[in-house]
Amino acid sequence: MTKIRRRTLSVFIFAAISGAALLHVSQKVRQAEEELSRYESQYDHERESIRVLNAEWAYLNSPERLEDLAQEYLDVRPPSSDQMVPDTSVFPNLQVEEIPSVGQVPLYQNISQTPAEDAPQEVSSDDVTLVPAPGRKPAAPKANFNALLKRIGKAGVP
Amino acid sequence: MIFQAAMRRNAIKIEGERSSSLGLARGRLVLISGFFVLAYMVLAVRAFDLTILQGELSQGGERTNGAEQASVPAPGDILRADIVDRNGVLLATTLETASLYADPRYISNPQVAAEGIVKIFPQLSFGDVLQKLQSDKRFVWIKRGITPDEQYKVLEIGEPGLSFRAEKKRIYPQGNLISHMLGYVDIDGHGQAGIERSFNKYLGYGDPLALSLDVRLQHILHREIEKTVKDFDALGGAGVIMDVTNGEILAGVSLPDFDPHNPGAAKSSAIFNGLTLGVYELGSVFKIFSTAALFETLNVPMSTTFDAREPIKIGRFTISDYHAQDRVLTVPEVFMYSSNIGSAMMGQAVGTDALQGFYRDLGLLDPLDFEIKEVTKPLVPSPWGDVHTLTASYGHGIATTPLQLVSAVSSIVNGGYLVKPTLVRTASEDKGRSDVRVVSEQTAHRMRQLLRLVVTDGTGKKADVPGYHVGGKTGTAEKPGRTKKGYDHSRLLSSFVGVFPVDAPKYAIFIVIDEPKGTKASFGYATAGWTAAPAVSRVISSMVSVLGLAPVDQVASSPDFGSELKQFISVKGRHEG
Repeated sequence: MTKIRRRTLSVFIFAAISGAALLHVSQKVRQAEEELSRYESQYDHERESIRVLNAEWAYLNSPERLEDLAQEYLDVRPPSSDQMVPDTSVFPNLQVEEIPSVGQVPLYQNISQTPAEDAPQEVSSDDVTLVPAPGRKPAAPKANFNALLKRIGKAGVP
Repeated sequence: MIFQAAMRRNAIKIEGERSSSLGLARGRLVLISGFFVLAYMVLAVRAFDLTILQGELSQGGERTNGAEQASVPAPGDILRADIVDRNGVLLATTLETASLYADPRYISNPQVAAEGIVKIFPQLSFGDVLQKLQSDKRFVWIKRGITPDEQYKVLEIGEPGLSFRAEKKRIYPQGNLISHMLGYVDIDGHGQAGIERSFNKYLGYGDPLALSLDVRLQHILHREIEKTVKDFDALGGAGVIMDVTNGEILAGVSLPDFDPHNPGAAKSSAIFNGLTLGVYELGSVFKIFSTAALFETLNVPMSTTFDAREPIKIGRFTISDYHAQDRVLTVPEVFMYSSNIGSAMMGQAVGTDALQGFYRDLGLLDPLDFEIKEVTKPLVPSPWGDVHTLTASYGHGIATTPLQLVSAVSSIVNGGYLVKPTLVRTASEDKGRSDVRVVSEQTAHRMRQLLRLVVTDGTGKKADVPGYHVGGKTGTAEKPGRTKKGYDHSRLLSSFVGVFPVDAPKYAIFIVIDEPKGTKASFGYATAGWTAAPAVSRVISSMVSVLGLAPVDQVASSPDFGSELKQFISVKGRHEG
């Protein structure tokens, strides 16, 4: 009698525990499914965003648009065959041999907004025109900037 | 209830021998009641779970049972695939947009709703919308493909009968640039023209399609044709850049063009693809074929002469020269001065059957076999008499599409292998190249020399690009008269086909301008040498930097490719046109 009872009891307890475990697991699964569907919808959303961004990228980079913008805001024009040279060795070797350590390079340098008197001479000292002939007259700050580039390129530290 | 019953039984105490059997019964009762207690507990827990736990979850998450639907898309749910160019630049893509529809049964106030809608979409008429909202249907479209901003405003109306459905909209980021090649889709996303139409099913499977086009070259060609059409106040123009080695179309332009997002708004002349649907009597560029036929069938030397002093009279036709030389001409002279008389005589020498067969081999007499379905049959004289042999030798009485002409020219200059035009890029490099030989290596070489001569000394001087050895042939054809028979001298079709580098051609560029009018800058000329040839020159000049082609060093290079033909030229005159 007591034996049966004990056995029954243990079966009951076992059933209760496994029931509780089942509930727990099913709860976990449901939560995981919810999470999964959330991630999936997020993934779909992100993918759609990527599609939109790709389309926008393609639009913003369309040759016609870039050409219009370049002509409006930059001193450049579409390249043509007379800017091509058969032999690239005519260009000076622009590779900087030694990279100065970070501490030696000034983080920034003030460029005067008013055109410096000696700036054009400084630029024209170089015979080879590396920059394609601009469509419009080059602005003075640009020349100044080129001069700065040259100084950095030659001496490493101005 | 069960608990109470069990307790009552517990209260009664029964003594004696029957107590053991009663105890057994009681034990069973406890067992059963215990089972029921457990069962109800499970129900209670489950109820708690459904109402409290999952209720919370469904409030937190956006969807409750969408997981299975999201992971397995329905067959119609696949987005129409992207189309990209040879470098992977996006040409067409599909984006999701909202479309506004109404269920008139749930519309509470049609008047107010219609007013609100018309305010947001001024292009819709109030009456129309009101009619739709009051109809007996369960579903009416109001406006498809609306922007998120418009969707927000519609939501602000607060009308329960207005709903949205996510729809797919085809987007062409390059706008008008490639409209004729790509084509367009209808509102349900079915391709209606161009690649969109011919690859409708393929794109429906969702696999991206890479074309042979290069957006950068397409832009260059488009820009230069547009400029020429504008400068010479022409009706339109068309052009192709083809890789002569395998027939890949790197750029294909037909002007006027249209906005593929809204083809309905375009005129039919803009929808018309001049490259594949336009059949034109292209004139002198056909002399490339008759001259090649002469070399191929009769194997004559360059020094062969043709008497171009007298116009040829045959039946009611009179064949005369535009750039008249009034003397006996050698083959190079016929070609560079573009003598109709000389070319007609070449055709005569080749013979009707041989010339016809040669044109057929080049694919000039049959409908174009192409990936785009909008193709047409060339206009070929039928029956083909001897007089047609003469006219076809200089490109009259026979009309083909520009694309056929470029393919035929490519097939000759590439060394003599037939190429077919193709718009779709495949991984293998020699796709499109066939082993079918149309002319011998020697004929191909001679033709390249002749083409170079036209640019250095003949009618196509303005097509030259220093350092890049351009060869080519001009073609100025009069269009057939609109009212009377014969040709209209004032309405021209000026074309130029250029190949470069001419010693080992890689690219063929063809441009045709429809009815250019002479300008002050061109001294009133509207002929090919003044219109299409400079345009081809500008295209080549721009494309070399894009493709990174280095020029040939002109000082160091050997004598010009076509220069050995100069011994066959007696008088060097100035000839433009």
